Amino acid sequence: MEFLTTFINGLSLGGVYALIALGYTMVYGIAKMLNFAHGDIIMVGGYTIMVFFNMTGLPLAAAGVAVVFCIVTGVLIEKLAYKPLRGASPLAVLITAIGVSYLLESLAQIIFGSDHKMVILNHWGTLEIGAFSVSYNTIVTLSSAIAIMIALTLFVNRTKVGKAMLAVSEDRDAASLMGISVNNIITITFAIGSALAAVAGAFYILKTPDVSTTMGSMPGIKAFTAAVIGGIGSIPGAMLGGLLLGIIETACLAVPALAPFAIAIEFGLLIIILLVKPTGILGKKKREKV
Amino acid sequence: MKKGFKAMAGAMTLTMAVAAFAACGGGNDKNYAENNTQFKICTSGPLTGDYAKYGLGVKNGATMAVEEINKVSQAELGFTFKFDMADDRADPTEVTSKYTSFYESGMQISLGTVTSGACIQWKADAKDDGIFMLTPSATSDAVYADSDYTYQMCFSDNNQGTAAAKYVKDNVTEKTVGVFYQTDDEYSSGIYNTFIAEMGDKASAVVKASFTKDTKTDFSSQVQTLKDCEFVFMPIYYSDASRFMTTANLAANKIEQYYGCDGLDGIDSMAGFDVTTIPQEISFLTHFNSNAEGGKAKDFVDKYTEEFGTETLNQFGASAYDCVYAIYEALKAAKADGKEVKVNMAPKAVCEIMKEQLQKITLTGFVTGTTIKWNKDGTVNKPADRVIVKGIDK
Amino acid sequence: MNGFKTYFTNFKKTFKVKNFIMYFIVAGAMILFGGLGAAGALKRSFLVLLEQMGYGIIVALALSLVVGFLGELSLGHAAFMSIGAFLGCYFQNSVFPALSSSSPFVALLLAMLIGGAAAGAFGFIIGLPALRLKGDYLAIVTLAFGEIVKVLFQNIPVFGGALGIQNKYRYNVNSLYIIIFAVLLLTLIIVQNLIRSKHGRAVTAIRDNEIAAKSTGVNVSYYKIAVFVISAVIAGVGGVLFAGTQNTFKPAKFDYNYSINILVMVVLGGMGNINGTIISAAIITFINVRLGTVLTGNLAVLKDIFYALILIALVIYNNAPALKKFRSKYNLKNGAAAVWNFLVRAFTKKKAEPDPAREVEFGADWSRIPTKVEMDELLSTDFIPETDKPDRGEGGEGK
Repeated sequence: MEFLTTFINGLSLGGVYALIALGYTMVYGIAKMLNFAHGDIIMVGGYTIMVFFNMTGLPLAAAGVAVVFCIVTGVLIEKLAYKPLRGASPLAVLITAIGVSYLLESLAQIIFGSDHKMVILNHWGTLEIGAFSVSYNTIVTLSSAIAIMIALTLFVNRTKVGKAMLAVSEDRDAASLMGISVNNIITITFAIGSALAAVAGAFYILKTPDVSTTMGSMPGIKAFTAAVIGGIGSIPGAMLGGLLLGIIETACLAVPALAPFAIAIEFGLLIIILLVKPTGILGKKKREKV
Repeated sequence: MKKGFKAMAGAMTLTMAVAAFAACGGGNDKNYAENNTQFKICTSGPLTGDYAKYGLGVKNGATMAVEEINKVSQAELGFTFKFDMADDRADPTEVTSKYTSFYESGMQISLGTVTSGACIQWKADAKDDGIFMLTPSATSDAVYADSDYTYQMCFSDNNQGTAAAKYVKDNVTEKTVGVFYQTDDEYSSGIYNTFIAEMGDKASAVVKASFTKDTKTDFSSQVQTLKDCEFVFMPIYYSDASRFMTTANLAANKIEQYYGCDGLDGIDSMAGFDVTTIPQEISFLTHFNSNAEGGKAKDFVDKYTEEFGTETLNQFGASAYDCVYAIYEALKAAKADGKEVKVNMAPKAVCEIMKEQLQKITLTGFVTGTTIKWNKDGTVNKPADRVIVKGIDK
Repeated sequence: MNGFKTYFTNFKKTFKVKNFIMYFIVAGAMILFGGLGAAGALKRSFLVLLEQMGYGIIVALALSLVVGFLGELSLGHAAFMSIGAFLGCYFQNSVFPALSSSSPFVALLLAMLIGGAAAGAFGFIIGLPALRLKGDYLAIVTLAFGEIVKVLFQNIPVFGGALGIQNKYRYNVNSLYIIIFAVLLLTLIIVQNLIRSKHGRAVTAIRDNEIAAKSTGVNVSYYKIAVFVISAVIAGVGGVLFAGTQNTFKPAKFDYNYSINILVMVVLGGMGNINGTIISAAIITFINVRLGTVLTGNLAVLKDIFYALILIALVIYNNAPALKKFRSKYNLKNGAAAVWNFLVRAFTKKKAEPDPAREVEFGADWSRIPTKVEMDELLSTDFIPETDKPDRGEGGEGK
């Protein structure tokens, strides 16, 4: 019984991580950059939701505004900080991403202050089946994550833009020779990634009703880990990685003696998984060519 | 080319060696404060990052006190005060550069730092310079241990943990006791360790649940662990405590009472959190009550809110406000004793005067205590109140 | 005698200032500041800055070996530093306290040996996955390793727990920076000679093309682990020196953010560019310290904004393809060359012309090793769709 409750709590946390990881893996797989500012886009989304929710009291509308605002922010960042470095080493872009991350956190502190703010969006109550109960928040989070995963997969594989994204991720030069505007595709990728970050921000707040300037940094790192564990660029992999992370973390926290070591155990298991499957759980082995 | 370099390097070595021996004994005891036109009080604390609200509280409280004092101190002491604060992100390794920079710009008295780890570093840096330190909020026992120039305005970890254990042993005899703390936070783990030690043979019956900075996304596991406890002790900060309470509301539990230390102060003014939605009783042990009905505390709260809003209104600010006033009172008392402090007096001399005065002085009518005295070791001696933020819903 | 003469002529022939300039700069700085410090002419804040620059550069050099020369991304180098710092500090505190108070220099040396060795052992452990994992997968393992080390130190009581360890024997600020600079010089000599040796060429060969290197008989596993171990030892020694500058420090200091800060130094300096790494590490430390001490009170919140803007501007200036022309016109190298030419002209009254023979004829010039790392190749792995596409890689046709 205890075990089942922990498992469901883990799924619910994992759902949030999975949502963040989905956004991460899009940018990561196509723009080929470690976007350390992704977590801070979640923070931007969080604050936007807070402002509009406090104004209107409508959680869905607030999330919608956050999505729009995050897309604008994400595209703006991409144009100003990342685009000038297209063609340079991805590590250089990583540094600007860190710069952007510092910038966003400081701006948030200037605008909203340093205090944590609580934003309680909604509690839909719990679903009781026999002896155990699942909160509807968990169900909504998980089903949204799965829906977004399926939608993303369909989008990437079925639509023209999606296929162009695949082409860009496969071979940038060849894609541009085929008439694909690489710049536009990467901008679209950032727009989608930022929109997903806003959605993840909304579900994050639903799970953890807390908005602060550093709310996105650790979940961002965990999502990055989840994306790598699942296999870089694999959308279901990111989902799986996120859920796995959430379950391991919750299980560790449920045992008081292990709680202080939760992060160590989590990351330790991930190292083991990677050693067994060097390209992630769902990643395909890439044949190296000379 | 190589010869040239060799010759150059040789010449340089020689010059330096000569210089080294010729000009030995440069003034390390230089009084950097000799050109001060204002008496300089400095400190460092987290002004950005996770703990920024506490550092900002100290900054605002101290600034407010300095502004008030400056209106009268010219007449009383013959000089005004200047307060400056650097950002250390609660990281001891950021402290030394800030400390030395302040020292060389003429700092005469310090408020230590805001957080414990940083304060230990500051204390060590200040040792040879004799910079007196009265910290508003560094609670660790290592802050005052083995030194005569370090004083606390807050209760020490030892003090708070002991008081909490005493309260639990005296008042919570029938109930199952749980404790919820942060293992990687110096304040929380410091109080927790004393609490468990003071509980003695009852410690093993205490249900323990913990979290870390990196795993505080979700508290539902810890709620599960503590669900059968009627009494939960929370030596943590209010932003985390409020989330635990909200999470606990969603699951079946037997919790009747939340009890915390001064970190819980501010929980009732947190944006977006309504204490009335929590069915349990919330109380904490503190030296500052932000809901005080009258007295100095109410004046402070009103003025602070008017100037800075309620955002950073917490005991850190109140404590810093009192620290500045305590320094001011001590300097006045010294003047009355015939040991007048000059505006450009060297820190070491100021330190001697402060040490003497703080052992003698009894302050009354302060924000964080009606009577404040200091013990020999530098810990504060003042009454602590258990403030009940919200009664139990029956 | 004759052999020595040949060596000397060869040395003279292959000698290039730029290969040695950093030795002179570091040694010069050590002597200059050592002298000024002994004369009491330096403020303590400046000595503190020198300390921070010193250990920052040492750790950046360590990371530069892995990222710049082996071509593997490490996001956990702070962990090696923390192992050195905590173990070194622990040994000075509890195992040889008598030595620490009577002859602190010997205690520090012993601590450096122990801290370096311990970090090296962990470097070996982290080197093992490097044999199996590539690119981001390895990066995430190093990041995970860093976080694990942090959590372990937070929970081992002898290292002080969350409050951190207390260093009872902090080294005297008036002499520690000289020791740090001496270690830095030693590190520099080791790193440069390593890179210029045949082992160094093997390592860069692995970076540029692992399969090709393997096929020419380079022992890839050996070199990968060796580089990780050497790098970890250097970072560990840097950690011990760091510990010497502090009275107390927390495990939380060495999180992934700190690792990324070290990475920033290496990347800004130009991958695989030792001189650049040193300069950028010094500049970044300086900027950080100055911003922290200048922007106080209400301005403190602007610190990160300034730092972020400086960082973004520097990276874009250094790396943006669009600015290539501008860069090649106005850069440090050209500036330094101009100054050098001016000096030569002033002293010899002769126009300094590049010696064409020297341009081609040198065997062991480490700076000739290609410095541009094809990180695109290293970091990229294909975005693999979930549909059943024919696997193009299977046939094994070349690119």
